[in-house]
Amino acid sequence: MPVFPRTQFPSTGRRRHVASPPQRPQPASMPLRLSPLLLGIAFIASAGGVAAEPPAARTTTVQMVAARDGADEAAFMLLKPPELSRSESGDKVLDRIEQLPPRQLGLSDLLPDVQRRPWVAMMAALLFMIVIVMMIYAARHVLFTLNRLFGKQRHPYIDIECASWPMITVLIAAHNEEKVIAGCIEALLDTNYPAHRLKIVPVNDRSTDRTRDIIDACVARFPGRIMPFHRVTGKGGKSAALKDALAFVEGDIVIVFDADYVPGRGLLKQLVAPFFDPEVGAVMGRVVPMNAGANLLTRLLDLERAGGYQVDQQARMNLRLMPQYGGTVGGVRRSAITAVGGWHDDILAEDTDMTYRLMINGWKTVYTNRAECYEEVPEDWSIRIRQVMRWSKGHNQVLVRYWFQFLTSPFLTLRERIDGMLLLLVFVIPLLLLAGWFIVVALYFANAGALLNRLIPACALMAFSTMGNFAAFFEIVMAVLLDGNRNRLRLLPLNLLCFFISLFAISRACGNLFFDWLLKREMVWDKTVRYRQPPLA
Amino acid sequence: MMTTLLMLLFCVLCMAMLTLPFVPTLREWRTPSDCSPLPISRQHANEIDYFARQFRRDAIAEIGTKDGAIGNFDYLFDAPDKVNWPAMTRPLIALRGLHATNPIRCRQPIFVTTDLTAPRESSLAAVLACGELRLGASSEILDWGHADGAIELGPSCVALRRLSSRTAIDLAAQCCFERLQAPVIRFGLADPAVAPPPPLAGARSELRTLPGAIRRSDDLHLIRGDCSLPPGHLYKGSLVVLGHLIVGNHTTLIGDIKVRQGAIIGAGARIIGSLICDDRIYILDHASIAGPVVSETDIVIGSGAVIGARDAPTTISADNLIAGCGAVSHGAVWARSVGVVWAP
Repeated sequence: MPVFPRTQFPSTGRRRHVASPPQRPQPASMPLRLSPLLLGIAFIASAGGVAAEPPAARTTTVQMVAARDGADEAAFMLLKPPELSRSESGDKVLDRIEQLPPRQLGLSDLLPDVQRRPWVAMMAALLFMIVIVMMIYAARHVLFTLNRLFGKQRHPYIDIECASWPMITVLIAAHNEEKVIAGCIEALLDTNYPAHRLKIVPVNDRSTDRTRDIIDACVARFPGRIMPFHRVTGKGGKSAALKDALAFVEGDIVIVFDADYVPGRGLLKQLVAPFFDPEVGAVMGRVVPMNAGANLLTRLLDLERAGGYQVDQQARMNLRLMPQYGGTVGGVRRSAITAVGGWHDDILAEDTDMTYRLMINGWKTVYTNRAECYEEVPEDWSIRIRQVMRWSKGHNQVLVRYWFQFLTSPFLTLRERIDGMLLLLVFVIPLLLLAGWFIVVALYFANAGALLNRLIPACALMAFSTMGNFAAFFEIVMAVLLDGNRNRLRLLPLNLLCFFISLFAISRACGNLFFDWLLKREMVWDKTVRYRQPPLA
Repeated sequence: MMTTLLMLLFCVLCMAMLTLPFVPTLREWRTPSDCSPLPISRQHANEIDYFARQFRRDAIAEIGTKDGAIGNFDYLFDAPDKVNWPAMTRPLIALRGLHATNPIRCRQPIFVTTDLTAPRESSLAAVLACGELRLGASSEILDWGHADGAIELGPSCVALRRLSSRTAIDLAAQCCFERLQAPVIRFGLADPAVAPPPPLAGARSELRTLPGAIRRSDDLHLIRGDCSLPPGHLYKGSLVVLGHLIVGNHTTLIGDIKVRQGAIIGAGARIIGSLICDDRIYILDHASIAGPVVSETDIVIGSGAVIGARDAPTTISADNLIAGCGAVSHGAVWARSVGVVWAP
């Protein structure tokens, strides 16, 4: 057991009279620059090795000291050499410990005492791993932001203005969308995409409100331009509806919008242009909250969206990583969909599912930052929580299904593979974070008094609470500045609120997903509420 | 008592220090000063003549008023050689053609209802000609230029930013440009009569027979390394090449091409589709490409090469673009850094 000189402990008034403490010798076996591996070993050692269980006989004394002088003294007692008599008073004990020759630390001292306190060692090791993971995510956020600020920006397809535009079909996913469907259809009819090359298919998925009537009214107003698909039977959910709607698609390019989106005049051309690249399987545009100023939640989501698209997605595009197809304000190539097995209707995140299947099979996804489109974001926390839970469940479904195929796909570059895996794990991280917090607290109580144990969990907590999570805030700040805004950044500290709520919502969703799988429960598509007022009849 | 007070004071100070950063947050929350959605122009369509259309609208509105009530423009009544161009402070309207013999150096946009002809070393900020626009050698357009008729730029002219025409643009040798758009763009005084493309010919071959070809879909093949299409063959289908691509002379490919590491389109070869490349593209003499040509670095277009067709305009886009004399493009040409008409 290593001997720690007294100076390492927080000084107390009672110890002030003790003469000059001996200098702690520099252990020969401890290099000055620790590699991550050695650091990990040291960390594990600190958790397990130092806090070796004291003999049962000393427990009472330790408890007494703890009650009288606090945890520090109790820890000190735990560390004192066994040859000291329990009858000696505290000061005498301290003086005698001071006089003992310090022993050099060897590698055996650094190894965890797994046999005596295996759970402590395991928790410490797990915490160390969590810290490493969080730091990787932190580095990723920082890298993306720096790339967005200083790297070369890739917009390879943005200049394609003149071309023989291909035949496309626009699918508008609509389930009880009476408030917004007309606006979306009218905006699409107003685009500058050649009308004879454009087929608009509103996919009315078993709506029970006036959606059908509104669509039919639009069909009557614009004869020959709209081909409605009123879906009255079949499995619920967007992916199931899109799967059925594929039968109505004309041409090789399918553009997908949710009904609450209002595309601009040039948006379709911007979304279609990347498909001139035969390697591109899916394209994603930028989503901008329309109701950003509605309340605090929408303002916070506006910040979050800015970071996600302006920095995160564009940086992925710049770095040739893996921009994610988001299921709306985007398009997919029908031949690519067919080649990878079509839409899957048993998944909640059909967009993530499609992204990964395309990438696994060698197709590329592309992000076009200038193809911007308004959407509505949730204005109620309960709706937001449900939305995050749905995303989380769907994303983790994809993780379970494709992680191995993704790791072994022959079509991916190393950087795509790394980025894809980090993206795939993104809805597991909150769970890890919660676990990390729990472990930190548990370690603290399990090893109270051991200096190293107290410091390292604290550092770890700081590290992954600041670098790990708040690097994302760095992204948001730069995104908002790139967008030309400034004052809204003052709300950034409140984004912690979003962060915490998402943390628990995602963790809960992970649990739900597990029980869904265990109990063979069917997952239900949870529609996001719209806030716009319906048009007058 | 004193200790308790000090502790209390300390706690209050700590709380204040912790709360202080949240004051701007709370103020912004309670009294929002920046909460409008990110502005997206629904009318934005990336059209090259956007500024010209705006200017035309304003100018026509001005001309439509009998007494110049809008008053945002000045009218040019004098002969162009008598105008003190640098002294002009407002946009100009010329109701007659402008045919100058001395250089025009104007920092204000000019609207001309018919033709504008300026001699060598003229310098225009922006110009909209309802007729034709001709600039002599070493002239420059600094912002944008548009003509309903043809545009002719003499040798060593510079057209920064946008230049568009509804009929044709002719750029003489050594001209530099950035964005051009017209039904016909001729580089280095190319032959105005572009020969129609020859009929499809060559030995019919399958892409799947190429070394290392991997079938990706019914219409698409992938080649992991370099790829060379032999001369005089006819292929049908799209191709993704992870290495370099060389298309042999007089070979035709009906489909789209994506190349990661550079492409050479041989003399007389035809691509009836798009050509997208992460690196440099060489289009050799008399080759033709029907669809968009996009490079993330440079494109070199040989003499007599044809991009697009009059009835099917397309886009060429690269950071740097070098067009040989005699090359012709239909549609849009975008050089993100610089484009040059090269004459040996």
